[in-house]
Amino acid sequence: MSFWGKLSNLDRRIIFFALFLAVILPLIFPLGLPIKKAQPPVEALYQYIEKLPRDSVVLMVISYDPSSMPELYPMTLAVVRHCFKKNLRVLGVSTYLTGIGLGEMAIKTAAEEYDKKEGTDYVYLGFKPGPVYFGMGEDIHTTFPADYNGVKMDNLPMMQNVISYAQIALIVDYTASNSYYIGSAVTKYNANLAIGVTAVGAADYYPYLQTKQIVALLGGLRSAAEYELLIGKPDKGFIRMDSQSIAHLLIIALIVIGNIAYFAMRKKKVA
Amino acid sequence: MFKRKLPILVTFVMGIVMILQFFIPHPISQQLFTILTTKWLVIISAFFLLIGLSSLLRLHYFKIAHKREGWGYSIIALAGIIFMCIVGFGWGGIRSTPINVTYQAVLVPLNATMFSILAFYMASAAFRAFRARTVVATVLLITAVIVMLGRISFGDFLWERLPTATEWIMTIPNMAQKRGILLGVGLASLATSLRIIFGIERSYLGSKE
Amino acid sequence: MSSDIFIWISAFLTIAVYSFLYKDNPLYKAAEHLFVGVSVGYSIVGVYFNAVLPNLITPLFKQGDLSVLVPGLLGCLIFSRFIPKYDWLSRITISFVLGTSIGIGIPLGIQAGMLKQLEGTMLPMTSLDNILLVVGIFSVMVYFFFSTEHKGLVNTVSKIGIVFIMVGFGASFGYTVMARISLLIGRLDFLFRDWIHLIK
Repeated sequence: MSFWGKLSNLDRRIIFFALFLAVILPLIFPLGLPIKKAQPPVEALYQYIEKLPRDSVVLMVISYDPSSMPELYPMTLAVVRHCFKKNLRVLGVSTYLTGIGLGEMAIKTAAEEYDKKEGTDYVYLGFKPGPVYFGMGEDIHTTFPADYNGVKMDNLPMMQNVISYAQIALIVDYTASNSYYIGSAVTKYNANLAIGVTAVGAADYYPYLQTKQIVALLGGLRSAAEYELLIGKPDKGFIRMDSQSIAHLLIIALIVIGNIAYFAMRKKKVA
Repeated sequence: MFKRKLPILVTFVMGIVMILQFFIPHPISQQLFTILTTKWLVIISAFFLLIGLSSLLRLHYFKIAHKREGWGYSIIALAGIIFMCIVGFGWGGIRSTPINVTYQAVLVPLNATMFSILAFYMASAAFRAFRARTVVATVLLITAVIVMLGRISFGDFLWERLPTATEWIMTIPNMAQKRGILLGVGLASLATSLRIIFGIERSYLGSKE
Repeated sequence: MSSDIFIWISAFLTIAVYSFLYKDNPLYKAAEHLFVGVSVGYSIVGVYFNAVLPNLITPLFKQGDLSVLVPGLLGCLIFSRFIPKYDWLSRITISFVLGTSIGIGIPLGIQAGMLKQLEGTMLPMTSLDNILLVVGIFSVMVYFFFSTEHKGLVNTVSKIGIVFIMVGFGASFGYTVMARISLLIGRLDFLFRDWIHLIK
């Protein structure tokens, strides 16, 4: 078999190992590759939050589970940090049962850093099944009679004047797939919505960005890294971009080499 | 006969009522919407979740009872379900320490790792399957390469305008494609929804009885 | 290396799943079934304490709110699926939810998914970007219109549509690569940072 033939039939475990090295080596030996500029959809969220008055309420919707955590958790944490830095109040809710813990973890981590108090500066509502995106637009207190700790809404100072989307300045929906808030919160209640989505789904939201149905879009790990830099707190999102870069180059190299091998084999067959 | 006709009637009535509700600003209409979305659908959805979960429980139980292939693994699954239920209901709910510890130590790593395996298969597919066989396939691959380079730090080094070019690809041609498909899907969803409301589409009823 | 037993458990389970990359094996299958079991158990507990207890049981039995009785009964009807003689009763609940969801979704779906998108397409043809956008959207829709044969002008427009579709798919593929790699980075970061402490 020719060289190109052998290359075409390369054991896939070699490719797996190459990818493993491409990811792990930059993590162990960081390259410190810079990110020059945040893209406009990411910058839009940063500027929007910057302009919100103090004590405005921002709703964080955790619509993901641990399988999307590496992409969405860093951006959740970065945005919550930004909100606390600007002295905004954060309301958290999860629409995925297995994502409840992640939302709580992000909000509590940021709250500790900025010395924020639960009940006054932030409330985590937990999870409810069904059309919560409509329920919260109608009456948060009926949809969630108590917060995640079981404390009744009446006993939470922050929730005294927060009844529905009308009192919420911005909704940020972190989702692994479709966002139900566009058709509900935005269309029916004229709420302001930003989307944080895994890179897989990011391309699908550009039509909504163009029509201004969403105010901003964070798509994937790169957006998380850009937002961390914007708020001046580079964290896991930024650190992992080195590996992302090298892995991308490997994938591109694999595509190019695979195609060269294919055309070389085809040329040989024709000859 | 009413075993099929009654559900179809319920679908029709609720569908029409809720469509009309959208256009009626009267307080009773708004209250109907509020009650349904804040109470009724939340409660009923909880039961839907429970039946999905209990179906899985039954599946593994019957696999063990009839010693079907792989029943040994079903013991592990059943043990996991029983353990979580005992710990959850016995130790005070979803906030208890044992539940949280199991969530962090078992659920999170397993869930995250299952999906991360796809990266390896994608790399393998990139080498073996992504071929520029036709002009349109070449367009696809070139776009993919531009986007992949534009979203990493190297893109800035290669060409300072590469990130801008990537963003242009996302906001113009990609957006055109997504919107075209979105409009088509919207029309198809509307057609299917109307078929369900008017009882033409009855697959959700299950068997013929 | 970490001294936390739970980190070790997480690491072991992670490696058990990755063992599938070498070949399918009992360790992977066991981890897979453990994931299913723990997920289901966690979800049952979660649904009960987050939804059934605060929204049904507490209002009904502790607060005497009878308004939750009807949705509670509708919800219980769904379990009739397990009794073959009465499984048709579950159709009532399914129909109720389906009809309600569709009825709520149709007007909002038309507004958000169609009217707003059409509005966004009505752009002044004063720039190349706008022209490309409108041409792209129109040609993509023509490509997917199968009620007429694709020949002549329709075929030409459809071919332009294919180019836009391929660019869109290429962009989606590029982003999908990014997504999958990110997931892998997350797990390897955990193994080499939190477990082995090789990453500082």
